[in-house]
Amino acid sequence: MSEARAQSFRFNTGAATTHAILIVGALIVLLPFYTMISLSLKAPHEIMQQTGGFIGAQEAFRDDYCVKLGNAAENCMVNPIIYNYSTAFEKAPLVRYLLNGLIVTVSIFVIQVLVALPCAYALAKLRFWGREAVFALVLFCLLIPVHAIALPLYIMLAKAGLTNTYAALIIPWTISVFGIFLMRQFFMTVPDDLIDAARMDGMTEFAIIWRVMLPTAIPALMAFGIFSVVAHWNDYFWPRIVITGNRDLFTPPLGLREFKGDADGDNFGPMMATACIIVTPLIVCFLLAQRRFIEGITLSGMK
Amino acid sequence: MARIQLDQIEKRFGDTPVLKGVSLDIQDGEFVTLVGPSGCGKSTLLRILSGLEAADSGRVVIDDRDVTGVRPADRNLAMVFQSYALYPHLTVAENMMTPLRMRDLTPVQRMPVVGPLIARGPHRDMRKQASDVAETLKITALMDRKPGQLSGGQRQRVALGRAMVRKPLAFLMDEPLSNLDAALRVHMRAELSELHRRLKATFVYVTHDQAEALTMSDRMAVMMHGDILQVGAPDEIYLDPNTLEVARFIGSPAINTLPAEAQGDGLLHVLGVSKPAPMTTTRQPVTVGVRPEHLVLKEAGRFSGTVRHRENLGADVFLHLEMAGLQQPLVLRATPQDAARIALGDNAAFDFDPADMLVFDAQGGRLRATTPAREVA
Amino acid sequence: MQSRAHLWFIGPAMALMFIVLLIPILIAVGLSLTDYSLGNQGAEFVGLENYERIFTRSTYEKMFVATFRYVFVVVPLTVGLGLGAALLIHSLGRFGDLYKTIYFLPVMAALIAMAIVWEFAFHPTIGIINSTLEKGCGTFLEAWPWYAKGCERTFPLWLNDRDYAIWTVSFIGVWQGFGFNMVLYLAGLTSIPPQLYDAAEMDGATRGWDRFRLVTWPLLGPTTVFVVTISFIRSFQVFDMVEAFYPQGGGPSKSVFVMMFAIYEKGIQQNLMGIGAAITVVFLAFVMVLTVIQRWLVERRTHYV
Repeated sequence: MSEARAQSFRFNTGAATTHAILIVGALIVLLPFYTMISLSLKAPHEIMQQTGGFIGAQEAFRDDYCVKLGNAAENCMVNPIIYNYSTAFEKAPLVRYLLNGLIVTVSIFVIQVLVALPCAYALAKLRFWGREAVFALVLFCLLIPVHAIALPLYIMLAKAGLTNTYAALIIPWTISVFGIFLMRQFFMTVPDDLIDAARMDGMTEFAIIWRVMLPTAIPALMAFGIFSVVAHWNDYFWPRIVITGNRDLFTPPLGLREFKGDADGDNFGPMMATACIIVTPLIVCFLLAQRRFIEGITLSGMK
Repeated sequence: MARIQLDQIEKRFGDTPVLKGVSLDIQDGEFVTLVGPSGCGKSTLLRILSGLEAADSGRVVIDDRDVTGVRPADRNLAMVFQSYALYPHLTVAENMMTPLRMRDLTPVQRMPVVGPLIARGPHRDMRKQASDVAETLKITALMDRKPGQLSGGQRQRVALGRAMVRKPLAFLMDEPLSNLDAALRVHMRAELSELHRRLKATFVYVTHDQAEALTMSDRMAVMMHGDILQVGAPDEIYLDPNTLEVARFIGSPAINTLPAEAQGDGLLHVLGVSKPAPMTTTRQPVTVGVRPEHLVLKEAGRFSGTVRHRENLGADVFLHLEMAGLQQPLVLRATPQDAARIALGDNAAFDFDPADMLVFDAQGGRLRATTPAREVA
Repeated sequence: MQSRAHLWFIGPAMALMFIVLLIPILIAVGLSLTDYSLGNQGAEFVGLENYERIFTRSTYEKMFVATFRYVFVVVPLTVGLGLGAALLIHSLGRFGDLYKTIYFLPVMAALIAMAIVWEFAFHPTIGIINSTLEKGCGTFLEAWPWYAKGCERTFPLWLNDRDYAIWTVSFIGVWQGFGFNMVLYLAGLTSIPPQLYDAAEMDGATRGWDRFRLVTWPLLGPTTVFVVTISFIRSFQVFDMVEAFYPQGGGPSKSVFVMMFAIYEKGIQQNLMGIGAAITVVFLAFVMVLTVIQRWLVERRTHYV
C-alpha cells in the first residue's frame, strides 16, 4: 500500500516538473507573439520608453506626420490602436498584398493538383512502358529544393520576360513532386476493384480520375493543401527574387519587408500591426483546425 | 513453483465496474484458464496479477507474499502477449536475453559496446541460457533474425522463449494463440500443454476461445460481467455447469435450450412431452439444456423436427432441426451412417435421456437433483 | 490496353519536372563554368575558376563557416528539443494538446514577420531581452562573470555583435523549427505499440531511462533519421531572417553570410551569375548527399517490420 502511494507521489512531482519545464518553454515560444501584439497596440513613446505594460495606456497622442501636413495639432490626436492599424493599411496597399497572397497560394495549389493528380494516378494504377523510369525520376526530383535552384529559374523567367508577373510567382511551384509522390502512395491503397468497377460502368480514364479517385483522395488533398498554402503564404525568398519594385504584385511577406525597409522609430507600431495582420489568417485557421493543420504540415513525415 | 491467490479484486474504469470482487486460488504447477467473452474482465484480471495494472481494492498474493504494490518486474512473473510484443530492433537472441540483462546486469554492464567487454562472464552465461531455451523450442536456427523476418508461429515461440529464460514463478498468457491461423493454433495447443507438463510451472492463460480452455487447462474459470461464474476442471464445467450462461458459453456447437414447465411433482413438460425431473419441486417455468451429442435419433423418439441444414464434418454430422414452438433450430449430432438415412426436409424423430438434461430456473440458476432421474415408461 | 491515356496524365507533370527542376540544374552547372551576367551579351568560359574562388577566398570561407555554424547549432537543438518536448507532452494526459498548439505556432507564423519581432526583442536599447537582463543586475545573477560584465558595461548587441550574431540567428532558427520536429516525434511516439512497454516492464525495465533505451529510442529510429534529414535541409536553406536583419553584406563581419544569402547577393544583387551558380551547385551537392545518406539509412538500419 505504502509502495503504491510512494509511486503515485513520485508521479505527481514528476508531472509537476514536466509542467514547469513545458511552461517555461511555452513562455519563450510565446514571447515574440506577445511582443508583436503588444507593440501593435501601443503608442510610439510607450514603445521607445518601454512603458505601458501589454496594451499601453491607450491615451491619444499627437501624430507628427499629420501636423507636418499642416493640420492643427488638436485635430491630429489619435488613439494608438487605431493609429497603428490604420497606418498599416494606409501606408501601403496591404489589402492588395493580402489579395495577392491569396491569388498566388490558391493558384499554386489548384495547378499543383491538376498536374499531380493524373500523374499520380497513372503511376499508381496504370501499367505502361517506362512507368518505373518515370517514378524513379519523381524520386530523384524529390531531392531538389526549389529554393536552391532559384538562380537559373530566375534567369529563365527573365529571358522569357516574365519577371514581375503573377506567372513568375506561380510557375516554379506548379509542379509538386512531393504532391505526386504523396498522391501516388495514397492511390496505391485504393483497391483496384474500385477502378475496375468504374471501368465496367463505362467511365473513361479521365472520368475515373476526377469522379472516383479525387473524391477518395479528399483527406490527403486537404492535408497537402494546407502544407502547400502555408508554405507559399509564408514564402519570402522566391517573391523577393522575382518581384522587384512592382508593389502591385507584392505578397504579404514582401509588403512587411518593405515596411521594415523604411521604418524609423515611430513606425514600430504600424509595422507590428502589419505583422499581426499577415500572421493572423494562418494562425486563426490553425487554431480552428489544428489536427488537420498538423497533419498537413507534417505530411512530409509520411515517407 | 508458485501458488497464486487473488483476493477480492475490484477494478473500475471510470464509472464502469470491470471486476467486481474476484477471488481465485491457483495451485502450484496448475494450468488455469480464464475464459469468457470479450469485455468480461479476464485480461484486466491477468494484468492486475502481472502488476501492469493496479487494482482498486483486493490483494494479490504469490507464495504467501503480498505483492499488491510490487512492480511487475519484481514479481518474477513472465507474460506472453497476444501481439507477442517482441522488440523489433533486437534479434531473437537479444529479445530472449532482455529479461536476463535487465535482472542480472548493472546499468554499466548493459552499455552497448563496453558492457560485453567488462562483463564477459555474465554475457556468456546469458547467451548460454538463451540458447538452451531456444533448443527446447527448436528455434536455434532463428537466433540471429529479427522479429520482422519471422512467421507468426515463429514469433510466438520467441515470445515463449523470452518468457522461459528467466525461469519465472508463473507464466501469464494473454490470448497468445489468437493471432495464429487455425491449423497452427490447434498444433500450438498441444505444444503448450506439453511445455506445461515439462516445466511443471504455474500457467495462467486468458482466452475467449472455450475450445482452448477445454483442451489445455487443469482448471478453468469462466468469467462474465466482471465475475467468475464457475471454477472447475474442464469436464466438470462442460457436464455440470452452474448456470445457463456457463452452459451456453462452453461447448461447440452450443448447448440446445428448450423452454419447459416444471409441474412441481418431479415431472416437467418440454414441448408437449413429459420428462422426469426430480430436481424440480415447485411449479415454475424452466429451461432445459441438452448437448447436441445427447440428442439421439430414434424411430420411437417422442420429439420430431424438420431437417433444415446438414453440417457434415466427416466424422460427425450435425443436423439442424426446426421444431414448432422454437425460435432456434436444435442441433443434433449424428453418426454419418445415421445421418445418411435422413435428407434435407425430412422429419427426424429423436429423444434424449433425462439424465443428460440440465435444468435451469427462470433466473438461469441450475436446479440439481439429489437422486439421478429415471425414465418412467 | 488503356490506350494512350497515360501520356496525357504524365505528360504535363513530366514537362514541368524537366522545365522547372532538371533543366535549371543543368543551367546552373553550365553557368557555373562561365562569368555570365544577366543583360550582358555572351559570356566567357572560365573553367573551374568560380569553384576555385569559392574554396579559396576568405569571403566564401566565411560563408561556409556561417552556414555550418548555423546548421550544426540548429539541427541538434531542434531535434533534441523536439524529442524532449514530445516525450514530456506524450507523458501528460491533460494539457498536452495545449502545449502542442503553442509549440507549433512558430512553425505556422511567417518567419519574416517573426524575424522582425525578434529583431525588436533583441534591440540593444529598447528590446525586451536586454531590458529584462538589466533588471537582474544587483541580484545573485551577478555571480556569473558574463552577467556581471553585462551589468557593468552593456549587454551584448546581439544581432549587431560580431561574436553573437550567428548564435542569435541560430537561436531564432531553433525557436522556429523545434515545434515541427516535436510534432513528427509525437506521431512517432503514438505509433509505438503499448504492449512493448508492458513487455519492457515485465522484463524488468523499471526505470524510465531503461524503457527509453529498450523501447522508445530504437522504435523512434526511423522518425529520427527523417527528422534529422529534414532539419538539415531546412536549416541549410535559412534565408528570410538573414535578409531581414542584414539586407546588405551578411551581418557584422559577414559572420551570418549563409549560403542562400550568398546565392542571392552574388546572383541577384550583384548580377554575378557565374559565381552564384557555382554556389548553387555546391549547395545542391550538400543537400543531395544528405538525402542520399538518409535514404540509405532508412533502407539499411531501420527496416524492422
